[in-house]
Amino acid sequence: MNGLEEALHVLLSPSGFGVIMVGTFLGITVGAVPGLTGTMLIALVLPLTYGADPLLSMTLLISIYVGAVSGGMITATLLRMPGTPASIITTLDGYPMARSGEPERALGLGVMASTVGGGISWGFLVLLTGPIAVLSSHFGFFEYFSLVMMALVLIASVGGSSLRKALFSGFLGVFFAMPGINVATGQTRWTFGFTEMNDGFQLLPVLIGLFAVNQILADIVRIEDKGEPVSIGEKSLWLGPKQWLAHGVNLLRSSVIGTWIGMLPGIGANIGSVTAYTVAKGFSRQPDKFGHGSEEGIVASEAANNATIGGSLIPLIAMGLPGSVVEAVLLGALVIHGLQPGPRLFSESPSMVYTIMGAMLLANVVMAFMMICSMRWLAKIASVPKPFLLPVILVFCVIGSYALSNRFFDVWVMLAFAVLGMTLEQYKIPLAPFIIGFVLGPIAEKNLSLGLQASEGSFLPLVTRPLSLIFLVLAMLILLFSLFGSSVKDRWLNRAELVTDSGKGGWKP
Amino acid sequence: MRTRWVASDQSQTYPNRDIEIVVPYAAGGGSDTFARIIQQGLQEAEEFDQPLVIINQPGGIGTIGSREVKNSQPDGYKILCHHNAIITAKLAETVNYGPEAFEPIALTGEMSMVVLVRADSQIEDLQGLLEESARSESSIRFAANKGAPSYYAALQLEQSLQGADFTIVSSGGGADRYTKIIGGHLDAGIFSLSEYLDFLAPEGTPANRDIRAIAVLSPQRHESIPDVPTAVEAGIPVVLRNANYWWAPKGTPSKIIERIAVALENAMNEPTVVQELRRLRLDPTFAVGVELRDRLNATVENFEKVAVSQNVSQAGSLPRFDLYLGCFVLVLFALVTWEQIRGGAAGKVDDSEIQPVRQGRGQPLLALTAFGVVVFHVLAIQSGWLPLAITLVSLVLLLGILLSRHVATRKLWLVELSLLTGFGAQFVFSEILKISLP
Repeated sequence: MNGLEEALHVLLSPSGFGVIMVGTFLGITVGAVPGLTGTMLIALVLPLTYGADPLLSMTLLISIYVGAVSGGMITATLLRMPGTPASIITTLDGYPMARSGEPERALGLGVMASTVGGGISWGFLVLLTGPIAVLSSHFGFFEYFSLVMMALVLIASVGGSSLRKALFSGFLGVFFAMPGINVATGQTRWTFGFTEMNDGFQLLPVLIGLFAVNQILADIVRIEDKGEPVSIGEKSLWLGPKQWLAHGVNLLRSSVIGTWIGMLPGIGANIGSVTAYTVAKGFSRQPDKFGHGSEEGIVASEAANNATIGGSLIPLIAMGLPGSVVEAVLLGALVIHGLQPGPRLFSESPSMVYTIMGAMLLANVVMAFMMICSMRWLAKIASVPKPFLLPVILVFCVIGSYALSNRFFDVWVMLAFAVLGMTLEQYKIPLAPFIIGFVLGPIAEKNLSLGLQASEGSFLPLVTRPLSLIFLVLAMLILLFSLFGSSVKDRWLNRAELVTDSGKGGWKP
Repeated sequence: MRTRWVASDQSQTYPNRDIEIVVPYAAGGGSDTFARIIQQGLQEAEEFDQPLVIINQPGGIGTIGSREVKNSQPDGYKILCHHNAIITAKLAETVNYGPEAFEPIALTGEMSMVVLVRADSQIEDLQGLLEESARSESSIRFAANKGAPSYYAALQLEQSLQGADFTIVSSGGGADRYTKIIGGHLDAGIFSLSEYLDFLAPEGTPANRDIRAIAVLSPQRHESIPDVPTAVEAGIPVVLRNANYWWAPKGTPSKIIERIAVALENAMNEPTVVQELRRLRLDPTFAVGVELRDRLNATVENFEKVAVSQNVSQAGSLPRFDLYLGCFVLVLFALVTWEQIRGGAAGKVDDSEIQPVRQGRGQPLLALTAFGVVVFHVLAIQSGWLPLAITLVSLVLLLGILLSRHVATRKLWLVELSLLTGFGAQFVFSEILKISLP
């Protein structure tokens, strides 16, 4: 219980609470501005926390995460431009409802759903993380390898409409993680004689390049785009308990869907909200209202995207496997502060586990409070002119990459990956599998290599160890299903396409 | 002649600006913590009237940072704090230089290493472990990282008994290794003393959830674990402690080396340093000059002896996953290209993101120009043409003006914003966040 006390002490101290307020506010703002994503902000804030207290650093990052996933609905509803890809689905019903004269109600429903979604997934986080951590402490090298393989296949198959493109992106990510030191042998490879490459490409510059610089360049291409803003009036966003009860079933269902989708490695908030939306439409008594300002639609989308937060934190804390791109950054953050996520984290640093959990809950509450009290103000910030915003963010991209290990190599890596990201997106190749592959690939290789070292070169344990066999069989089934079960998949996709007008949402979390 | 004159002049006035201490590991790690304790000790002892700045350059098992120092000016303003891995990085062929490429300044503090097993293991002592591994029907899976000092200690242990044969598994950081030993996936491993004491479970934990040290690889027993015998006591002559050394680039004037060595010795005697090192379980050993060189040579010799046999036995032991992967990516690339060439033949709906208010093709040329501006400024910062803050101001201003031609914006605000960002970033990063900027 000592860890719990320490976590409470940090979170409830003036500075801890201040960090949560600042983080949530920043997250909401960045989430609300179309073209800026939470991933971008978290990657850029990470370098600032190198010297800071680890508990406070994680509190800040988690608060930003919660804020960013929630903030996207502001512009989705008022501008018909999703602030983050997580709220793409919210535009479908939020904007029509706002246009028809009820912007406050649309936003109010979104805030309510976000809060409940976050809360329910938080419950799962608290309940499931411990048992899963205990289970995963029995995992050996082969089990981890099989699990990661399953995860890689899963992101590729659920991801986009083109399995090949997603697979290519994922394995390209694995490929770019290869240069540097081979953990198993301690020798360098693929450095092409550049000693700077001895450590390969670091996650942070790659991430800033792919998700921040690339995104900014895309924003610049689209700089003349404008929305048709709806302004909000004086009405309160607060909805009474009656409304909560009226949407109770939908809230619960969408939150649970969001949480489970979040737990699957590599699948972010946007897929969570698409799925919950589709399911809600299937269960609805008024399915034809979906897409024309349906309350259920807003609730399903916003509950699910916030619920993915708690879900995706579970495999991160319990097994050290990232559930989405943001988790990949959080994984990096923990490692930078000398902590290895995974079963050991519970006994090694219980205060960190409790801080992450507590920060998520508090940030959720603060988020609801801020959104209800200062929505008009937040909506104004979201329309800061781009010429002010983008150059400043680029400065932070450059300094942030440099600060990682005080060398310019990382800055060039960042710029190179920005170009790569632009190229891939040009050909509609999703970027999220890339980054997940980049993180998971080395984990898979390390575990397989070490497993082989331990088994003296025998691959047999992959199939003779029951858990490992289960994961591999599941991976094969998923792969076969997505390759040959195309009729089933097309039907599912078509449904998603129907509801989203032009296919499934983007890949960026 | 001129260089000598410069050198002697420098050592008279040394130090007259910031001294940079390069730590080749990430902030917050063991090496970083240690360096910061000494840094504080140096400041408390008021050894230098110039600030000491710690620069973390993690990566490549410490070789990114060590190379930075090796290639820097030998003037005593950039020194390296690094442990035994500087020796093993060369033996593992990560880099082609070892301690000989530096001037050693001092040895400060040593960490004891222990060999441990799971608490319910049948193995009672080191001798037992070696004998068990020598029996042909059993194998001991031993955790030690290839290329790191612990690996060479494991090899030394193996060679101390005829026929002993560990299955050595490199298994990452301490927490990883611990989890694998507790989970029964590895049988034994080498840990630092502080890791061992941290990982030790509280009293009353079942034996299959706990660990037990069977030997400490120091010349004497350690005061914090008096019941654990040394390897030497068991008749196995393996002594390995991970020592922290301070290094200067080759060619640094000896006066400066001595000056830093004296400062380090005084810092090691500061009460706060003594106390902090005790807390980290570091033995406060100190060595300079001949003693330091002797100890270094002995360690290098020890490692080299076992390294020869290692390189033979290791060749071709693992499949080349990276090559297989490369081929797989190429195949996928071909598939994707094929799909692209066939175009929308499949009749699929364009699955791009929803962008409800897209108008036309946008401004690709503008984005390209902006990217060019960024690249140019990064080059400018790297080569140090102008002070950092000025360059950043120019970056923000140029980009802002470029973009404001497409979106109506107040130009004066842009000027204000660029000044704020440039100087603000310089101030926040260097003064508040203590990140050393170019």
